[in-house]
Amino acid sequence: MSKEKADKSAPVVNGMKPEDAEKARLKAERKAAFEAKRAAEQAADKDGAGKENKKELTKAERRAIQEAQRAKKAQEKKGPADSKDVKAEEKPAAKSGSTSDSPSKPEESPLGKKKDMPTKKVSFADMKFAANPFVNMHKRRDNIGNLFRSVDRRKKDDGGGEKRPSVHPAILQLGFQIADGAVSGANDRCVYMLEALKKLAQDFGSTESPELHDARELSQEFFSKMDFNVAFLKECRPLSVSMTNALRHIKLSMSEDESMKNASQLASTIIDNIDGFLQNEITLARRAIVEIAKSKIHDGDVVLTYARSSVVLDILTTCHDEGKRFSVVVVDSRPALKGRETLKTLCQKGIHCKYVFIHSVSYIMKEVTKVLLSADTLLANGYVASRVGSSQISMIAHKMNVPVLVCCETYKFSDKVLADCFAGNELGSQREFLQNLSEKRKQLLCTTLSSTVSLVDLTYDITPPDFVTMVVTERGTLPCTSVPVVLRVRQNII
Amino acid sequence: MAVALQKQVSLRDNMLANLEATLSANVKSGRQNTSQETAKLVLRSLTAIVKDKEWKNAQDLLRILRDFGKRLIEVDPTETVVGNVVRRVLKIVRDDYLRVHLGHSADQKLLLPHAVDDYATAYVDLKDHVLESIDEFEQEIDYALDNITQQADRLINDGEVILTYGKSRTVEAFLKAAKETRSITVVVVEGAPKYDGHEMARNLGNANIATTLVHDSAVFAIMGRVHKVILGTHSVMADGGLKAYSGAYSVACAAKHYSVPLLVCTPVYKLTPQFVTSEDQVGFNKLESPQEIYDFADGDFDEAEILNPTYDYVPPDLVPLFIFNVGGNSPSYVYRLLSELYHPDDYDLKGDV
Repeated sequence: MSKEKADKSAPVVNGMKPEDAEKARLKAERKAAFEAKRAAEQAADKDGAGKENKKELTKAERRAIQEAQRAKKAQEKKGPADSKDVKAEEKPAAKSGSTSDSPSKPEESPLGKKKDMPTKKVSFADMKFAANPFVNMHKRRDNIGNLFRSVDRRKKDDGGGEKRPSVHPAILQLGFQIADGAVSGANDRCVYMLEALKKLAQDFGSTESPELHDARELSQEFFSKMDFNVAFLKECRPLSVSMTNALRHIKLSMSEDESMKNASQLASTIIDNIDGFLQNEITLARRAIVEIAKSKIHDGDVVLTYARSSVVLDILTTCHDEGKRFSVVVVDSRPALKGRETLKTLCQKGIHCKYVFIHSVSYIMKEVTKVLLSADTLLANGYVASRVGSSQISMIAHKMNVPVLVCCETYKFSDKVLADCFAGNELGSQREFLQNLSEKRKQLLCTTLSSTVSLVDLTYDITPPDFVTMVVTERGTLPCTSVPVVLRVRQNII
Repeated sequence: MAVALQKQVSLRDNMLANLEATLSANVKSGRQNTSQETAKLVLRSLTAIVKDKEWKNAQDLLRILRDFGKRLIEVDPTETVVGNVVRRVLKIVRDDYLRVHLGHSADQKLLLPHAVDDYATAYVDLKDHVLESIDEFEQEIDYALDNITQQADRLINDGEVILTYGKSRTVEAFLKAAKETRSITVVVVEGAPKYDGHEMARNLGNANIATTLVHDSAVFAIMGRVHKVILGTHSVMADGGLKAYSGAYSVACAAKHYSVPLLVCTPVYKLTPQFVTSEDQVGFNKLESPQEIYDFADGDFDEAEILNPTYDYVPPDLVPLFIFNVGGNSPSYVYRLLSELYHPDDYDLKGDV
């Protein structure tokens, strides 16, 4: 910087005697250096103080000051939590500036402030495990008794004179079953919810409310009741995509039809709608999937499946009933060990099965000819959300060139997208984590838990579309990437 | 003479019987001791043979050691460390013989592997040389762990999330060493059916390392958040692949998918000159009791075949880096290390000298 100054002042000495010129040049150089230093100091001092010397600042200096000011602003905005990020921005600025080697009043100047900060290098430590990616996830309860408290709380609120809806007994029962894990699986949860909603509608229809005659008010009344009940289910466990899609379908099909006069008529319409959904989107869709998928299984096939899936069981038992000769590899994993149910069902049917844990998938995959999985939902970006572990199996199948078939009804397609396995996931409870462990191991694990050791039990994961060969739906076999297309077609139908 | 011979035979048989008992106990009731303990156990009995047995020349000694090794390997062919230690000792004998032999006759520079082929000349000082070299080897085994953990701070950065699978003594020490200078978070995969990840998590937690325990099925899901994967291994095969505990393949594959660096920490005595042609080849895999993964109270079906393999073969293309006690190497260098550690004639111990 001082060099630059000196060069600029050099032409002044032209025309002098060589030795004088030399002296003058040196003097000018010193002066320039001093001036520059002073300018830098003043600039660093304060915005206003530096103004008069602004012309003499070099580009680099001005830039450094600007950077520093910006950094300071950003820091004030973000607060102390993000101060490290700011530091990362500041660092290069400080270097390129190469200004004040010793600012006179460090506490006032923005550049000085930088010096006061801890000199620790900006490290990768700032990119922590996102503090904890699991914080925002729904954690299932250890003790579902807690749910009673929320029901009680609602009841107490009811006493306040204003008439509030209460949770329907059928929904209450289902809520506990879902929270307990007795009802699980995207399909089952949806079917049970719809059945419970049918009961809700039935009861709604039988209690005549005379003051309401407007059809719109009636349906509003019902839907607010339904929403209240669904909110309870949500509290038990976040709704699956299948459930939200089914609810949306019921609402959409309702709003078109406004001809009903009384509650019982409304109720029967809703029940009809629900039955229609159950019939078309679930029962018939299932049958169509089985029809399509069974044509993919041939004599001599070794089909690998994971945990328990009702649609896969249907496909396999149908194929067996039709006399196809194939064997099945059931892959299972802790904590739920749902694969044992699959193994039991298939063995009772007389299908030859191999049973392995998920860690041995690579061992068994060599003899497998097809992988058959089901999905909780298909995301709009083609990812398959399914029970945790599915992606691992698909990955190894893909690696070993075994085709992966995913069975999924189109009503489970979602217009949402996800980029990783953490957003929107659920965490199992500690009780679930300890499931299916020997007493000795349980005890060891319980003593292991401390402030430094934590358990994470993810419920879902998402499989990239590259690992999935085809998706079997009731509308035919598709690549994963067709999800948005199917969604658009569905919307047009509704 | 006959009495002396008998005494010798009984001495050897006793030792062999003891070792065999230990090794077969491992076979029956799962691995009880670490690779290091096994290695030292075998090495000690080999030392005793060199010391106490009567042998005329190197040829004699090689034959005796090889016979001994052969029988040990038959007890449990999957336990590669046994064969590796025997091979190392054979190499020591060969090298020392060459050194003595050439020292007596010619320039050291002529120390070529095929300079001699019969090992038949008897030298008085050979025994001392061999015992000294064996001693060095023992020290190498003792310090292997230290030499590996010393590399930790060069390989781990501050704030990294590290995934490991099950329990490995080497990895545990490595992570603890990394903790000395870096703040790290460790994700431990529990490793069914042994669930030794639980113990690993406890040990790491006790060392004040933030530890998260996850199920085997969450490996792929969690890999996106991981900066490095560190694994231990049962042995390193001749092609640079791993014979690691079942589940390692999934971990390595997921790491590859997410482009997460994978480090395998292992001492060189786990290098074995065996190639893998199939995971079911003799001496590679072990099928453990199905009881570990299936509760027969749930129902016992004729149609069901319950498989519980112990090991996974992880091909070298999934292993980017080895951290040996002699430094870091890529799998493509393993063949070179093998030829330094063992004599080519000893790769197959079943053949004749």
